[in-house]
Amino acid sequence: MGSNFWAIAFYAFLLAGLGGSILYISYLFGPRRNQKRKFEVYECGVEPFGTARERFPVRFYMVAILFVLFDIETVFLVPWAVLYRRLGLPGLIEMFAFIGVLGIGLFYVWKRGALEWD
Amino acid sequence: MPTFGTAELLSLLPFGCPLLGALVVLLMDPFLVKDRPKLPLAYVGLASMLCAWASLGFLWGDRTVAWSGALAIDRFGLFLSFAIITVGALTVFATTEYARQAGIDCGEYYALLLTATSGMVLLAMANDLLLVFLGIEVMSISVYALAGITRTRQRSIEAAMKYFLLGAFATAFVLYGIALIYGATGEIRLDRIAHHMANTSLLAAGLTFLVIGFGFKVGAAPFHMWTPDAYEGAPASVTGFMAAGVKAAGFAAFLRVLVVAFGAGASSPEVSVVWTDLLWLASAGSMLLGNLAALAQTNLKRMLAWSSVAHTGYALLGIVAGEGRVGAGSAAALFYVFGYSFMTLGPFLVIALLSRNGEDFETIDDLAGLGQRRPLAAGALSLFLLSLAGLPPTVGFVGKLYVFRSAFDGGWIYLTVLGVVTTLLSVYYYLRPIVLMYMRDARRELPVAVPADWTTHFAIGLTAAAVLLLGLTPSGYLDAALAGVLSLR
Repeated sequence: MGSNFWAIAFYAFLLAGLGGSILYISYLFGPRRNQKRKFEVYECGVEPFGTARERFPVRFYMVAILFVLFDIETVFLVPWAVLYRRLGLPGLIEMFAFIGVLGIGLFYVWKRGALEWD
Repeated sequence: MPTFGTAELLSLLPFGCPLLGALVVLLMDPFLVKDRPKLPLAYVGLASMLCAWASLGFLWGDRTVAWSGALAIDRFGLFLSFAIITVGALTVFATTEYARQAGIDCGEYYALLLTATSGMVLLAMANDLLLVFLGIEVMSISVYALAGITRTRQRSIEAAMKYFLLGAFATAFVLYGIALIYGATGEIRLDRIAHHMANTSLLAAGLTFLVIGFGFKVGAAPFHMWTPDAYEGAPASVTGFMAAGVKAAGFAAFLRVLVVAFGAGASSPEVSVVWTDLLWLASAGSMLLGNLAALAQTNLKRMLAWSSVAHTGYALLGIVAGEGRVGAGSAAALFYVFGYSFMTLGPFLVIALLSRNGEDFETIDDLAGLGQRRPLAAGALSLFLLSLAGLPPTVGFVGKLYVFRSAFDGGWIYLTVLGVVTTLLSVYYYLRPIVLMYMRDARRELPVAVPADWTTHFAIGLTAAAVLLLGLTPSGYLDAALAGVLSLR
């Protein structure tokens, strides 16, 4: 174990040294022309406007949460579909129970008006 | 390939009934008239709880396992499920008027109470680390939401946020612990982990994480930081449910995991030393910190929160004394948790009874003069406080007696002495509200009873009867606790 460890330590030292020296050398010899534009946020070529930390309506959060909730359904459905024959009738009953619970959840959020934007 | 047997389907009932009840409540809620009391929802909830309750009696018997060993149907789980479902049923039934006045009389309130109960029962019956995790999550997520259900009150939101952040952190500990234990043994079934010679240091690391996670859930020092704020900010009905139900379910899983998977009979006996060392420290810390901090409180809910930390310490003392054997110490801890769930539900029900329009009746000074104005409520509150203080003839006395005795017999002399001393200390802060209630004149207008309060009165009466009955004739319940612990093997 010991010799392996030293090999790894040497390798790590080498890497750190290489990375550090590259950074230092380009810092020493590299030209620097600082302009205001260089320190601006890169926004795919578009002029940035305003701060990124803006308030946005809680409705987006609602939609995102609901999307995640019902999207997870697929994670359970796909393995079940792949193993459908092996799981047989019990598997079918279990999956319908699961979908039933989700359906009741959908009915509930619908009735509570969470799916309406306004 | 999974198979369905009758026994398998019946074993789903104790937690399936509340879950089904929750679904029915969510389906019914949109069809009820707005701005009217949502009593039908409470009755659906109560009915599903009673079904679950009946199924416990039906399943009572010798230990069997169902669902490929994932669920254990034994006297241990059923005994604590009995307390959990009773607490859940009383909360659903007794707090309708409180919920209406606090503005939380909605489908979500009842549905979340039911799903939380379902998770607690699952936790008490789980024989598999993954189901333990699932039970913790179903229970905790429901209770986080319940703590913040009075959305317009800032303190309620603060309680929910603190509880959620620390609880989610604790859940991560539990999950990491489970992963390490699985890595060390290749098993998630508790009884198989016990018979597995494993990489002990990895197993010990996993066990430590698991103990830390459970310590958070049951509110043991030094992982109790969320307790006072969460208990104070949550509405009184939810706090009672949290204090009684979450603690009982947490201890159920705690005891079962420690005794079955890492107990004295396990193949790697060194691991029981690991958790005994961790737990006696947590026990001593909880008894000291909980009782000392409770001395200084002026808010009744906050005082009861610190007292619940202290009582976690006493229950942990029983687990430590048991040292993972299926004997007197573990049985004492089981009985203590069983009795504690009733004596801590009671005071919160009284607070819910006295609260009006969502403003919780919670400062200790406000209790002055209650003895003359509301003799029954004051009498019940006194009984619960005396029981928490551990005075006879209540369940608190019997529970403490058995815990201390088994700790003494197990050779944990200093810990027993610490327990007795802190109990004496606690009598001061438990007696102060009683003195105020009977020996001072009222400083403010005390709320009067309304007819709709009858369910709360009824539930307080039942809880008080349970506290007295368990204290006067404890032998049958102690035998049941011992039988429960014995059924773990």
